[in-house]
Amino acid sequence: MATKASIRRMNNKFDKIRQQEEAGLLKNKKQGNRTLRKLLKNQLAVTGAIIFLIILLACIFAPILTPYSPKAVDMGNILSGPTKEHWLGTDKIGRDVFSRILYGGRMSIAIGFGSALGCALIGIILGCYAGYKGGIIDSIFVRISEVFMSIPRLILVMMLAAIMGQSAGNIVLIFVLSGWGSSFRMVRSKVLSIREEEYVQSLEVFGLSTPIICYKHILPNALSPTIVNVTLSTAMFILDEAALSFLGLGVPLEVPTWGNILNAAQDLFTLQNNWWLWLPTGIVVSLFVMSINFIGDGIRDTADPTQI
Amino acid sequence: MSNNLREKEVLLTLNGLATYFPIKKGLFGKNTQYVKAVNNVDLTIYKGETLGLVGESGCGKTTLGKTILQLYKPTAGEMIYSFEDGPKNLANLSKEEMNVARQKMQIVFQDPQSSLNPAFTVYQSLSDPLKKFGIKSRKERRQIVGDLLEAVNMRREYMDRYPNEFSGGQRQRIGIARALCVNPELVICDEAVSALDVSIQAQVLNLLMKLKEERGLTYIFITHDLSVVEYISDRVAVMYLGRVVELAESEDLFANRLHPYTQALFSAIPVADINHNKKRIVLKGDVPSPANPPSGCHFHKRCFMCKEVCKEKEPELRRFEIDGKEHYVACHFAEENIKNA
Repeated sequence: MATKASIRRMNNKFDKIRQQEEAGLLKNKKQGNRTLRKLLKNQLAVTGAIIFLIILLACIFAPILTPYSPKAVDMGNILSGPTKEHWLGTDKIGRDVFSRILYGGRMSIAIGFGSALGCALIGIILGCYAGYKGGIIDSIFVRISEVFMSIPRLILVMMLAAIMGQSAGNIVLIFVLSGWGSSFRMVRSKVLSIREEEYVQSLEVFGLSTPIICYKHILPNALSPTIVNVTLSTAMFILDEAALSFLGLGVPLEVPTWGNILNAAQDLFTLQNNWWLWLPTGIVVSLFVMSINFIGDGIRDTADPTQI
Repeated sequence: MSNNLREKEVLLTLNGLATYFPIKKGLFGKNTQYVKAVNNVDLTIYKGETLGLVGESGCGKTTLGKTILQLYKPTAGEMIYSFEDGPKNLANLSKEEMNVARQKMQIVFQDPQSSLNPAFTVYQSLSDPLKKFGIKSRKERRQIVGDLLEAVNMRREYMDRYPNEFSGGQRQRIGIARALCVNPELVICDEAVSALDVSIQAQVLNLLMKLKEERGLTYIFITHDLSVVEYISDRVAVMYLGRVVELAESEDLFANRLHPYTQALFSAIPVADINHNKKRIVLKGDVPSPANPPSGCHFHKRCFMCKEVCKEKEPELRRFEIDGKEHYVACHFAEENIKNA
């Protein structure tokens, strides 16, 4: 008799679960967001996210972590190695390297992410529309993107720097103007192939509007390469910023950025004798770029709906 | 059966329907040639029937279906659909009228792999069309999607699953459910069972027939599988190179094939009987390019009955009566064939 009762209990329990499932209640409670769940299972992505967050938070809360201003010159204490007061030493004019890395990170991350997101945003909006619509609209956008991609970045930078002056905002603008073409093409080519899928035709048969078909139904399937592209180009833009700053065309030298810090260590003497000027910064840049790439990989795997 | 059909009301009439696709050529991209995918088709579809549309690959079956659904713009001809407020040509509807028309006609696609959006759950995929056709509340939409899934023999809680969690047959049934979500009158099944294996095919075909009974649907059943056509169709139209060459009731067509192309096509049906000794008609050559169809009768280059007249004069689709049943054939020697049959 006991078994019968327990079976009945179990049946009741299952009935309840089934009722909930039918009412659509279970989904939000138990499963949560499928994408997030998948992302959290990806160990590499989680590792990347942790490193990324540590660096990001350290940069944001720089004033708490270091008492020194990144711009404070201390001529009595130049090129000192790591000490208790200056954890990572000081540079050629006595500025604290640790605080420069933290404050510099703010600028570098902002420039890298800002440019990458700007490129992706323009690329996605135009690429998705052009790829779906095809025809004349498509070829006009492709030609425009070719024009932008064909202008050498350096010339554009010099022109804009001459016209508008040096600033971080201008650097982002230049990166976005010269960089949106590649993400545009990536999204467009992906959408071109998705457009032929039968589910898109079925939406057309229902007569849904172009923005809904294009941005709501097609875009999620075209997004994964773009997300990877955002992460990769963030890294690229951080390095590009460093290169431009070195030429004196990027962010003004007194503003700390990772690029500006590294460029202070250009000569062989510094490289050989003052490792604290470039090694910690280099490690932070590499770690940051790597963590972004891990996250990008993780998002790519997650965004692929056929992978569980 | 035949008398019944003739009394039935006409749902859709195609008059000289043609869909051409331009081939870009020349220095300034001038269109010098067209692929004539659908070339001068006259067809009448009655309410409540299943019209089988058969023919080999590339003969324009799918293009015809998609032209009716306004996925392609017709080059010429008209499509008269009987709406509640009178017949209208589908090719020049206003935007509001078009929205009404879109609710009347739906399509079930061939490939269950690509016919569902992999990024969306079943409910999410169906939600937008329902929203467009006026069902605003989420609860109501969930109710409708659940009912549809049950109508295609699936559990209603499957609506929160992703397409990759289903088998091919299940996905095809979801595709059918999607087509039904706006309560259409006409459903175009574009090779709806071709991608499924035979046992699942039977399952889906039976489901389609059940739904037709329940909801009073009309089907245009596009396929190249003749046994499927025999099973499901009331009438069958045979297409060759963008044209209808023969049209008759299913049983009638399987008994008397008047067009030589139909004869050749039907002789290729495999019969599960080792003692079956039927002569196969093997056609010479390939299907000619629809961009440059042969003169006269399009079939004359491969036809075993070809005479001089076939090379010059294009045969029209003519109406015959065999045992009181309508039979349309486009062949110069139709009378001869009737006698032989």
